[in-house]
Amino acid sequence: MPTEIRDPTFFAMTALADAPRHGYGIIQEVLRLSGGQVRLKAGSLYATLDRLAGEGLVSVVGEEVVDGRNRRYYKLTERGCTVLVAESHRRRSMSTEALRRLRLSGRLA
Amino acid sequence: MSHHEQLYRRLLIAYPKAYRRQRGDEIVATILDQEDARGGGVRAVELISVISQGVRLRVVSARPASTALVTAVLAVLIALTVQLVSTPTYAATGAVRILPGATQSKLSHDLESSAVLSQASRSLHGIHPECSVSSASSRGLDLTCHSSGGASATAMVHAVLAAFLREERARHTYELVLRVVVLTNSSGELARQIDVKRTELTSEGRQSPKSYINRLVLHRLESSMALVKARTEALTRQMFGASAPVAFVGVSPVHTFSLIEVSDLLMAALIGLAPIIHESP
Repeated sequence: MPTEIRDPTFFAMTALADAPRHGYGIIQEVLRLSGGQVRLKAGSLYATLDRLAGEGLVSVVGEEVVDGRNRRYYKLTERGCTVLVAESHRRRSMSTEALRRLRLSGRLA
Repeated sequence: MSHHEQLYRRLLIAYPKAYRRQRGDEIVATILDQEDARGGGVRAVELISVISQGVRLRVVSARPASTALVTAVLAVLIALTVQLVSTPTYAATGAVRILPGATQSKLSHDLESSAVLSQASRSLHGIHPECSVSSASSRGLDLTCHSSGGASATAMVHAVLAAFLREERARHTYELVLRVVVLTNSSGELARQIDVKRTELTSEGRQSPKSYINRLVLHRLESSMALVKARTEALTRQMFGASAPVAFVGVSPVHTFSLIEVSDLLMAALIGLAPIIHESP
């Protein structure tokens, strides 16, 4: 199990939650998901994919060559889905707690 | 294969061979996709991220031979970093070494070197009148271009390379073996910051709390300066040998610059490094 899932990894996994995507597709989707905040660089994208594949959280589903460019598509594995669900719950409970306290202190409208 | 694609493939030299075989094509495809999305050119940080990820993987695999490689790739990164902070207001020095082709005699090399030199001087002078080119002939032809401010080191090296390539096409006798280092001199940002801190320290009382912090900052700046200097010198020695003139600039974070500005430089640096970073068994 990964010890910690940082935002870029979380977004990359989320980008693969609904459909398989290739490298650049993941970069674009992460940029969109994060409201323009997270722009994965090519080097770190592949480092992330290597790590996720090593942990069995993503896998390659197919390859195609478009305009002479080799595109490899990645998907979230069953195990990847389980981890993403758990991480999403963890993040939600963190923010729920923050909001609850703010509400209690009367500082949240 | 386009010029840029060739460049990106060269960057993959940073990666271990097995990894490159497995992932190289898709990494290049991803960079090309990014380039298309931007309408040409990628951010330098993208390329640096690709190179440094390769270096990281090499370090992880940690063969003894990879030490030389890591040094070599870091040298490219340092050259790039120097590029990032090299602005037209600083004095700049660029240097190019051109080696004779394997089949070329020493005599014809000497004759043609002078042709290359005059061509390079003319071409550079046309674009940047304040620049000067000097040469020294040892094993090859070393061209050093210097600007006291106005032209960036990149622009000068570009002009010299362009002149060389024109000559080379006309004569077909040179092999394209270039070693390029672009350095700017010590009037860089780091030197300026050090001056500021020194002035502040002399104008303050020695015992004030601020002076304590200033001394710490000054110490850090001077250490960075020493580090940059040492690395730059090592890089220059590696590429040009012990007699090379060394100049350097401070390092500060700058996030983007266009690929076009550095592609030739980077490519030339990598061509120079290729024998060093050739695969370990």
